[in-house]
Amino acid sequence: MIQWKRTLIPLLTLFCLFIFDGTFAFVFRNQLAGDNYLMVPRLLFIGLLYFSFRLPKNQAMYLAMLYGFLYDSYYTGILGIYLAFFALIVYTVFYLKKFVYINLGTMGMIGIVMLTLLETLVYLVYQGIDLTQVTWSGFFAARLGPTLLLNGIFYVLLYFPLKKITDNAMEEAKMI
Amino acid sequence: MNKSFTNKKLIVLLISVILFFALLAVSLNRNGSVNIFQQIMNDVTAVAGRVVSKPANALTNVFESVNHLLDTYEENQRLKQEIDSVYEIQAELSVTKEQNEALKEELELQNSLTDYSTITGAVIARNPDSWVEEVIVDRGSQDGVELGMSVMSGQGLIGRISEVNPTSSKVRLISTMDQRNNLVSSEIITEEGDVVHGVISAYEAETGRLIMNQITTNVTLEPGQQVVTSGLSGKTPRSLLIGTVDEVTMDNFGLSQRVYVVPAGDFNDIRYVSIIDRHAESEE
Repeated sequence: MIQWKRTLIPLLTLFCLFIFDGTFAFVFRNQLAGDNYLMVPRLLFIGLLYFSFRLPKNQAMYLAMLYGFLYDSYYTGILGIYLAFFALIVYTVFYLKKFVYINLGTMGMIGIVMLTLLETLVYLVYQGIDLTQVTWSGFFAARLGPTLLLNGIFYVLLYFPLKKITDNAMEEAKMI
Repeated sequence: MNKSFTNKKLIVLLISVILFFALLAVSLNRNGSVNIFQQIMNDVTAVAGRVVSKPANALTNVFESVNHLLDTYEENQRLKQEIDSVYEIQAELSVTKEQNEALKEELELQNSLTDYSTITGAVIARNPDSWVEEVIVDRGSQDGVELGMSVMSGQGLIGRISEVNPTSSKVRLISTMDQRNNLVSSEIITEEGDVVHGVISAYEAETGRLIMNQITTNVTLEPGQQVVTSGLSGKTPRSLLIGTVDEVTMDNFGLSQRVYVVPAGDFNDIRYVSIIDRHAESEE
């Protein structure tokens, strides 16, 4: 029973965040996109980041690959981009996890770096396959900045619910 | 701890890099048809998306109605003025339609380039990424949607179907200018009756205008004229409204004209779409 809970709850939470990403992007489009800025909601990424700090390596890696593939297939239609980058980010988080004490602030700072990494990598891939002509400086100002801002707010809002959910899933009193 | 990469890690890394590029290449060249496994996944996700988007839509509708109540008076004044011209146009239109039908019968034309039927659908989600502007709608191959069909929303053309699953499909908006497969063949009909052809091939994000190129003609075009689809490409019927002319310039080499078009459809607030199914057979 404990075993099922442990695998099922993160799976379902990430699925909810995944769907909310898409719904959020379409319902609030006018607020998210302006003349010279575009904010990208990254709820799934925040959830994935949190779980890769708390869950064991294998489980987090499987979740990352599954949701990376799902994200590619459902939202963009170009497979492989988010699949590879989510896996890469989770791998990097595992490497960094050993060096820091985990709490809201440190996880947030690592999250900002990881989000920047993700956005930059995706931007480079899209430039490489010639689907965007946005310049590097345009990207920084128009997309990266506002995206980090929006997702910083989301992160603070999501941290405590996610913590509760993971504590519930793992059924140990981890005080993080 | 990080002394050197073991052989096994290196091989895994290399294989994943190769797989990554292979996946990328396959999905970029595949042009819209996906395998059955992906279709099932997309559909299952679309079901969840639908469940969430309906209440979200309802909520947005409530907010919008409240907003509308506040500017009802001005809108009423404006609409009253527009109604007078509408009556005139309606009368003209019914006469022209009758003539058209009679002539078609005379010539025994079966399906012309303007005949089409619409499939209406609701939007369930949108690509949050926005590198490629795509919208996911809840009509799929079971409702008759096929790859390449045009999609209209509001008053104008907004995109084209780029992927079809059994119960959902993806619409690629024309504000994503993918030079390889997102061009729209269009025409402008002036008051004198001249038809000017061109291709909508770019989108200027700063001003939100479409750019129509390859116009090789001496006819003078003026702002305010309507730009419609020409029906000369495979799946799009003729005379779907794209937008109105905003600015006419020469292109970089001075060889052809370039027209900036203000789109009639709204790319940001898309909730219900009509998918256009052309009746005329094409040569594909």
